[in-house]
Amino acid sequence: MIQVKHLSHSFGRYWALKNISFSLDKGDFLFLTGPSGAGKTTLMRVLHGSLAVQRGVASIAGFDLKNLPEKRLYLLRREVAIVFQDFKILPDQSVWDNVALPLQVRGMVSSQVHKRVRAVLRSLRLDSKSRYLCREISGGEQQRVAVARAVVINPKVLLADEPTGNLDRKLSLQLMEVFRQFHVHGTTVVLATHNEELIRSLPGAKILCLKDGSAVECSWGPEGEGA
Amino acid sequence: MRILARLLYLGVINLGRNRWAQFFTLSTVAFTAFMAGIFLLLLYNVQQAARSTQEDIQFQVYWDPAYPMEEIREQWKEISSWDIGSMETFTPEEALEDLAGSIAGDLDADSLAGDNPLPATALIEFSLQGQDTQDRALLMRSRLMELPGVQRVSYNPLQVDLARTWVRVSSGIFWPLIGLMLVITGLVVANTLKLNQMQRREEVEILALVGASSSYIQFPLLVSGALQGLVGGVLSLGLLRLLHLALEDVLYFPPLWLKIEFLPLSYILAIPGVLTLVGLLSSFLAVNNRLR
Ligand SMILES: Nc1ncnc2c1ncn2[C@@H]1O[C@H](COP(=O)(O)OP(=O)(O)OP(=O)(O)O)[C@@H](O)[C@H]1O
Ligand SMILES: [Mg+2]
Repeated sequence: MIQVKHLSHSFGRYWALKNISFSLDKGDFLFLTGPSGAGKTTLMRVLHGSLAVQRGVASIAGFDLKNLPEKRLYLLRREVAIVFQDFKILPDQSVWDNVALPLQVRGMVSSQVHKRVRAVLRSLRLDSKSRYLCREISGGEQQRVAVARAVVINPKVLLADEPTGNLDRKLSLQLMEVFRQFHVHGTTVVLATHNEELIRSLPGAKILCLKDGSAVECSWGPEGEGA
Repeated sequence: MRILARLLYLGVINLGRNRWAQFFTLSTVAFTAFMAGIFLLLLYNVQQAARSTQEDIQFQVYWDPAYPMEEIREQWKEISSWDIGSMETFTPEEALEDLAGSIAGDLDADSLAGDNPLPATALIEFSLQGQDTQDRALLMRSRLMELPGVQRVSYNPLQVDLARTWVRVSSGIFWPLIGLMLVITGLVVANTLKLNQMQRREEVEILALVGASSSYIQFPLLVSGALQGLVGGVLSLGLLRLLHLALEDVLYFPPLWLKIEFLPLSYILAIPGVLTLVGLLSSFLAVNNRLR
């Protein structure tokens, strides 16, 4: 589902990703971790086609990221959903409208849109806020709107950048359960987080630790790995 | 088809958002187009005035009232054989009748008939195409003056000058000015509309991130851009028409006798048409490189 080989990415002279390689199959779950500035977000953006592949190769959901023409990028984004660290939701539109957006741009009929949006909002405990404008709800709620907008399309690959950053422990674990459900049903999930508890909660997952743009041995060990 | 309808709808709905920004954008577009319209109106009228005088020039010839009428008729016959466009002649009686007709009632024509104060006159028109208009006009004037019995020849030298100036000016300045004006208007309008679209950059970016195709993103923006251009253009035409109604007659007095004419239909259609195109183009440029 995802293949990354010798991927490097630089902003000017600064290399934010250095020679990264990994591969994931359908339904795999990958935790992406590492200190702030390690390159997690950069890797997510490459995988979502927002940043070009400068060196190495990368493919996701059957799309070769290196040779994907801009005109066809939207097709990738219909299979690969992303939750941004800074949400990127529309503050002046309602929770409902934000979550419905990816379905509407696909031209889905509105009865279908209704059904899907309602189900997703309920699973993320946002149903009571669906008519609120996004700037009127809390940071944690906005974060869950961002998650809802990503999962509503039933993506093949789900990229989530610190999706629990603004949530308390209980909500974090609840959200983790949502991701786990998708993973169980065959969605490939890449989740960037600093939260060790989250990582420990899913023993079967793969882990990629980044530091200064390079893949490193994880310095702490779920199941006693690394040192 | 359903998507197309939705996109059209989105394009119109977009205009309803952020009303103040829309208001300022529309005002800028309308007023810029209005200024350009005033300029066009001015040029158009100067051109019209010059054209009409360029085509024909009038000489008014007055004969000495004491000069015998038979001789005058002989001269009329001779003049009409010259290279002129047309000639209208008035015997003193005809002139009096004309005068009486134009100030009906207030004048007792019969009481004057015995002692008619009016001279015999002729109104000669000839075409003034080509370069040496002034020379030909002067030549004609002296030719008429040399006829025995002719007291006075008047013609409209102002118009001749205007015509001559116009011939020189129109080729050298008219089209470059129109071009410059179009460029300036286009730039101002395009930039205004583009800025207006830029406000939706965030929305455009997010649409792209959730998998909207570029046509899905662009179409509503193009629709609202085109609509802004169209509405701005129509508003500017309205303003221009109001201005025209107010100023129509300001030059309608002697010796100018110029009625300011409104723009012809082709111009009227062209103004909103061009603005619509500019609107389309600027929206296209505003978002074209922001889809990644
Ligand atoms: N657009 C950019 N231009 C220049 N440098 C950038 C840009 N985006 C990221 N960087 C740099 O690349 C490095 C990696 O950034 P990135 O956002 O990937 O880190 P991160 O692992 O997501 O950190 P965090 O945990 O704080 O979110 C940082 O040093 C950052 O300054
Ligand atoms: Mg980050």
